[in-house]
Amino acid sequence: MPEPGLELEAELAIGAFSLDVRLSVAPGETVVLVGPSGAGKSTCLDVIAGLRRPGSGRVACRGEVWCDTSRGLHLPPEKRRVGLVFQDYALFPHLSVLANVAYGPSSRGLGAQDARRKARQWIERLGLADAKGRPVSGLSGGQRQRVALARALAAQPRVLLLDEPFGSLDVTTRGAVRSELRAFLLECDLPTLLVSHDPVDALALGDRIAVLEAGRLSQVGTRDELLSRPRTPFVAELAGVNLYRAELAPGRGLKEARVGALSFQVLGDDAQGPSFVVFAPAEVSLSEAQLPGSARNSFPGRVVSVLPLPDRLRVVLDVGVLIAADVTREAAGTLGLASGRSLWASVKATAIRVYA
Amino acid sequence: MTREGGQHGEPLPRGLWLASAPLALFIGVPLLALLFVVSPADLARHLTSRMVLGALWLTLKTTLIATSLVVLVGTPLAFVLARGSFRGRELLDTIVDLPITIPPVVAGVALLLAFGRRGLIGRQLEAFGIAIPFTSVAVVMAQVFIASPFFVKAARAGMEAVDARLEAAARTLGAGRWRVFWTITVPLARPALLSGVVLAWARALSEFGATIMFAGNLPGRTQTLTLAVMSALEGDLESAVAVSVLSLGLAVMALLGAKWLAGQWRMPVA
Amino acid sequence: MRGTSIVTLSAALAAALGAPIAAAETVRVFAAASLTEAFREVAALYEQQHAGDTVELNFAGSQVLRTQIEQGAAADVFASSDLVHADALVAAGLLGPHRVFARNRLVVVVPAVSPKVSRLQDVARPGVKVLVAGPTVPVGRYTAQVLAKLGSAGLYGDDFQGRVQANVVSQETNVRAVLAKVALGEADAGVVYVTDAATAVQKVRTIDIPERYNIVAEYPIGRVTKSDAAAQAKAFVDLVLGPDGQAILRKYGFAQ
Repeated sequence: MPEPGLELEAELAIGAFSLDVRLSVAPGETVVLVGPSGAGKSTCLDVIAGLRRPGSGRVACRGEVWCDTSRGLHLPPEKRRVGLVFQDYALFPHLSVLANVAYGPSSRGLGAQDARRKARQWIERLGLADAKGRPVSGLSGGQRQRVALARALAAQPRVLLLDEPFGSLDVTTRGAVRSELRAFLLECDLPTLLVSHDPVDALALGDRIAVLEAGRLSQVGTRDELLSRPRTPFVAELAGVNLYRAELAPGRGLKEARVGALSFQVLGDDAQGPSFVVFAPAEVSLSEAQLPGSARNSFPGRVVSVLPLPDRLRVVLDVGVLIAADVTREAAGTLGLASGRSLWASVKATAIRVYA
Repeated sequence: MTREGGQHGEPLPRGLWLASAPLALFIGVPLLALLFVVSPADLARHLTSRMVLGALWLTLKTTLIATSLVVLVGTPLAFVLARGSFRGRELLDTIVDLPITIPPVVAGVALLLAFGRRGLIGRQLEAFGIAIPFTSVAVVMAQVFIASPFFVKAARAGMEAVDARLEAAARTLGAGRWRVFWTITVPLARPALLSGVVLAWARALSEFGATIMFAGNLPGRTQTLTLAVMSALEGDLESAVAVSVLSLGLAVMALLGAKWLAGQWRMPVA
Repeated sequence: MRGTSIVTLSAALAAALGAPIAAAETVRVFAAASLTEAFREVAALYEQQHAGDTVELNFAGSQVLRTQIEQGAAADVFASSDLVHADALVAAGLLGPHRVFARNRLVVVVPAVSPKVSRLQDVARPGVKVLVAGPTVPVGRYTAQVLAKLGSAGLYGDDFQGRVQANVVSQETNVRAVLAKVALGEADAGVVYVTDAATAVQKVRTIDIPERYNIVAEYPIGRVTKSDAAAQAKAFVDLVLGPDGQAILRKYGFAQ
């Protein structure tokens, strides 16, 4: 019997909006809750944290029941052990970094000295040692995110909730911070629910992806599951983004990125080592034979599925990993697309983005 | 922080200065006039008279007690108004604001009708031998009645301005509502709270109509500085001016003190 | 139609230009609080008799009115409840020669409902709440005089004056405030003019002060020297002093 992690069942209505979800996250697993804005993602986090009461539902974590409307049980937030990292981080502006991180431990009853000691441990662990005594206003975006995380973790939560953790970061910092967070989450044995509107976050960080649209979960599963059998156009759009973990060779200019057994040629300038490579399904060309010409990345594979989208076809190929390619219906006719067909997929090196 | 000129260092148009002058002068000149009527020697003589010293002592005592009471009972009310969501919240807010809008003498009459010997509540107290009108307690009550809206309004605004998500974050970290209030809300609302306290104290200091109606005018027991000015005015203009100067001095001290305190506690901008 | 309007227009023009039609004036009368009802009636009579004129009444403790006039308030007539304030204004050249137009005396009032005080000596009993007017208010001064007389008569035991003083809970700024608070039941006794007690017959009962210990309050009336409605001021004063005015004052309990 697998150890229970986070279990959420909630129904609620706010004005014209209604939410109805059922979700569970195993210990150590990271589920990314994705969806368009207004879908209700933050509301789910609020319900888990106890900041909002569901009309009906149940929230349990590691066997402890935090909320059960059928029994009239609703523990207040301070009695739940939730680590919530808010959008914009909600750091306490009148406290130093150390005091912020120590807030949780001291609220849970630790004496001032012990609380600070614990805070220092987390500050060290998240690489914030030199920012320790500073006021919160003087920190960079990436540092603030780490303080928020340290603060949530110092309180020894049983579940980790992250609301748009990269939302307020600029593009260049995002990538770096995302990788750091991923590394951290891999080690972390807490059930983690991360909310994002960005598909790249979902694909990069999530063991599973839960897609929330207009208050309902359209689909929950791994990227491959969502890709192969998307239940809504939004899911298809989301899962179609081709994102893979890769090992990037050192050097400048055109170089190799190994994705499993596959070798991609990418422009990865200063990055090296573990990275992500990303390209859109629209950038993938399909052909019957390997194409001569400038595309340096061509892989043979078998068609796994052909999915009609509003104005195109989504073809999923297994080239060793699953690749999504979008083609026009006309092109599909020319290719004779059908499940099981062998085709070549090509993508230009310039169309591939590399994230550290 | 000096702000010379406009937002971008550009000097403000002269017309703006001219337009602002009338009000500044209108407020400043009468106050200055107070200072030039009585010579410093006479001032000292009047200010050390028994009547004035008695009024000063009574005023300091009552206004400090009144202000403390206002803070004590006004803070939870401000919090309820700031964070509570319940039907009738705006009605409650309006009721709390009323003492500002009704004439102070009317407030005095209202207090008499409630707490006077024949009053709604007063008659119950009378049975226990407790009579409130004409006592220093009545002075404090009148001051609390008149001054509390000033504090509650400022405190409410200050608490509302505190980002509710900071309070939510604190709760997820394990802080109960009480701890959140003291460690998050109050420190962040402190400038507004302080300003409210000063305003309330200043209003209590200058309270007249409700006091004379509800507490009466007896030197030593209910004659505050403002009542002393009134009584003095009927006989001795110089004495009245002297007491007025004293009151003005207290007000200036209060405002300067508040500014200094606010400067000490200024938080880094988030 | 056109004929009539030309006539009206001419009349209006004539009036505006100060032609033989008398101009409408405002007479500002500063009067002691105890004169409130009586002077309202006199003012109404005056306005009847001098069509177009308006009487503006300002009632307050005489000491307040005196200070106002000293500070330059615009007034035409001053009617005080004692000679002290009127004399002071005359000495300062602010008031013309005055004449006494009415007399009054003091009485003790107690709440009509369950009064604690029924005899004059009870005001000295410990625990009784007494209201008086402040020492600069005429009625307050008179009260002190009456208490002194009662005290030196030795009627009611030692230190009658001191014991009553100890019972004073407030020094009001005018006699009507004393009356109002006694009527409300807030105090057990107050000292006011006989004429004031008459205005609150339902709410207060009176306890007489024997004539030999009582005072006679003399009310002077005079024209303010810096008045710009001299003729009207004179007319008003004459009305007060004349038979009609005196009849009104008598009606309200003032003695001649």
